[in-house]
Amino acid sequence: MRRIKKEAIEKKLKELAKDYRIFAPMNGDVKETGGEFEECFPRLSGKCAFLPPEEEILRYKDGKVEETPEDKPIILFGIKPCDARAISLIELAMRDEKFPDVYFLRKKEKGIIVSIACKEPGDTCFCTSFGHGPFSTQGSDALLVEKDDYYLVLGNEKFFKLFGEGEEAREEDKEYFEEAKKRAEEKIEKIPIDNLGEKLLSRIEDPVWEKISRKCLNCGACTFLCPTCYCFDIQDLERSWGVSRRRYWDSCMFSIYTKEASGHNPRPTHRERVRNRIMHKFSYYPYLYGEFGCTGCGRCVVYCPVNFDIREVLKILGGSG
Amino acid sequence: MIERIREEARKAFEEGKIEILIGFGRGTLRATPIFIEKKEDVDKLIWDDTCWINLATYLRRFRGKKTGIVAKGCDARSVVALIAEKQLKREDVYIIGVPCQGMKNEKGEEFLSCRYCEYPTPPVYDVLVGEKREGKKENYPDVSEFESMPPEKRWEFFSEEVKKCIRCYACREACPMCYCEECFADSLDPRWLEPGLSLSSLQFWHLVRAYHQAGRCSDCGACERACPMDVKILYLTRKLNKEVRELFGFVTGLDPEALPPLGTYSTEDKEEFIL
Amino acid sequence: MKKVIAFLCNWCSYAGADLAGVSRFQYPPITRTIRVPCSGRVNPLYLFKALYEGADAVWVSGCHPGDCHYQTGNYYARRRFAIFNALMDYVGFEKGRVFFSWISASEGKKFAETVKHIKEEVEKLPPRQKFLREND
Repeated sequence: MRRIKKEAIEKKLKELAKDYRIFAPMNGDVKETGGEFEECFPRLSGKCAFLPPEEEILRYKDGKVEETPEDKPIILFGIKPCDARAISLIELAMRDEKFPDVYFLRKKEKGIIVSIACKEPGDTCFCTSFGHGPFSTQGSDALLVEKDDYYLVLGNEKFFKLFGEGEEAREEDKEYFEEAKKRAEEKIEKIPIDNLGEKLLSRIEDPVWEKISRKCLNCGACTFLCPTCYCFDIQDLERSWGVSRRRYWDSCMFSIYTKEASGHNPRPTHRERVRNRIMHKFSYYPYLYGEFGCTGCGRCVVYCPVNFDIREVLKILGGSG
Repeated sequence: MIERIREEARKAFEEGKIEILIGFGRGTLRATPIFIEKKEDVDKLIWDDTCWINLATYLRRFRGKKTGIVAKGCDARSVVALIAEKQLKREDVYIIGVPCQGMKNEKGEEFLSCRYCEYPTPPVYDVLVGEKREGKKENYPDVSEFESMPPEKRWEFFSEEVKKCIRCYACREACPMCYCEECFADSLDPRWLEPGLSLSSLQFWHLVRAYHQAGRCSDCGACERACPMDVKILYLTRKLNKEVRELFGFVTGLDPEALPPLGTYSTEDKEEFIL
Repeated sequence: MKKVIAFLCNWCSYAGADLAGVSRFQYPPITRTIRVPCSGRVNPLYLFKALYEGADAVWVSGCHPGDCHYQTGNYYARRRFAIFNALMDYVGFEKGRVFFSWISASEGKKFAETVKHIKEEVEKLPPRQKFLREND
């Protein structure tokens, strides 16, 4: 563990803005800033740095297809550990053997993620359910813990090379870290997830799905704010110079998500779509990649217009609610 | 009030008037929609100032079933608007009318549409569970205030607001009147507006959605409340409701037999804008 | 050269435009005409789309009230476009880009005069900027 003066990190971040694209929470959402950041729990999560809501992937210009050139490397700074974890979860899906998602991966490879630990978790957080928590380092190149005018830092080489090493942490720092971690973790609800993947699969035709999905409006609020959701749609746009092929955030909640050219829709109602979302995150993801596709950030709970609460739903489906 | 709601709901089940009831129950953060099919479950119904969702948005899912709905003023007007558009049959809907005290957000602030609410009491109902409440008598002062701004400032406000939008369509799904099988925004042939978050496509989305609400919107405000990004949109729909009232003398949701204003005409309609 | 997308109803305004041509009434060549059976056929989405795609102005012209070939189509149009106008004006979109008129089949002169009027109004305004699809 090291300790670095807050001022030093903030100054360095502004300097790095010359050669890097800085994404950080600002005014309540993660966005591209010139090195400024706010300590908060942002609404739009860190995924927008590596998977933006609108991204050009190639263009057709002067009779030729051109790959979109690579941009400056990204520093994603000041997000919460749950968001940093979420990006590493998206990476599991993007690292497909046959069809790796080049656009995401090349940004991620050159990028740096710095998270700030959650000393005051929210009422809707449940990140500890997945074996990690408010002080998790998974997915981050560095985890910062605020202590007076210093940050205590657990980081890797990549981070220290850019931001400097500061000093060795003192005993009292390590104690403070453990204390704060314990206190934060205690505040967070742990929902039971043992064998959840298998349990869900065994209940896939259960009539309970109709009951729990009834109130879902099938808007896209949860999916767009979710730090682990990564579905996208591709469309070609005419421009004065040719055609731009872009990808956009898409949502499995939209009724047209699985609508086929014939008009047939294999997920015609809210029941199938809600079931699919839950199965994907809590059954298919652990089956395919060994990890749940959810970090327990709680955004879907806070921003759902009808208060669809995934924590309650998982308890019911897992047989304990 | 809540006891009366539960009592009426129980009666409605006992008398075979409804097969399913849409109401509000206790959610983890605030009131949440619940769907009751047995009279024993009516005790799950609640009523408080977090019941801001417009439950009429669920009615079309239960077409063919005798459906009950616990409706505040604006919700009931949406039900009437749906009936007027032949989306529902009056005899299939059992309205438990609740004179509304106004809804508040999680900070305890009154919503804009409640502050100026003219119809807290459902104008059409099968049973009313409380004393009728008087609405406000002002005619859209918020809209008049916006109109008094110079055009450049209005365009700037409009553009700055829509820039916050991420096109999650929570507004569309929360609205009972947005029920098109294929929304114009999803149409690929023709593709009216581009996908994504360019300023012009965000403006297109919000302008046309407001336009499609003219004469159909009950000013419930569910759209703005559902928005996760706090985009203001009520000032657009309320303007069109004001226009429809002034130009055609029509208020949405008061008469299930009345034709929607853009589906009819008068030979005496104003035409100052015609060259 | 300004581009004005004109939706002309087949029975009155389009015929009026034809009469203008045959009578040699001069008018500026700024219109791109789309012939519709009736002004009531015009979906407001066409107007939004035309402006979005860069038209300098949009114009819908139909039969005079009471003279609609289909009896009542133009009455519906009148309501629709009253709302369209009110909305665009409210959000601060420039006045002078959206036009509606009643021009009958015998009003060739009026057609030419209306086009001239539209050209004057449009030329008072700067090149299109607001509500324009990004093209770069």
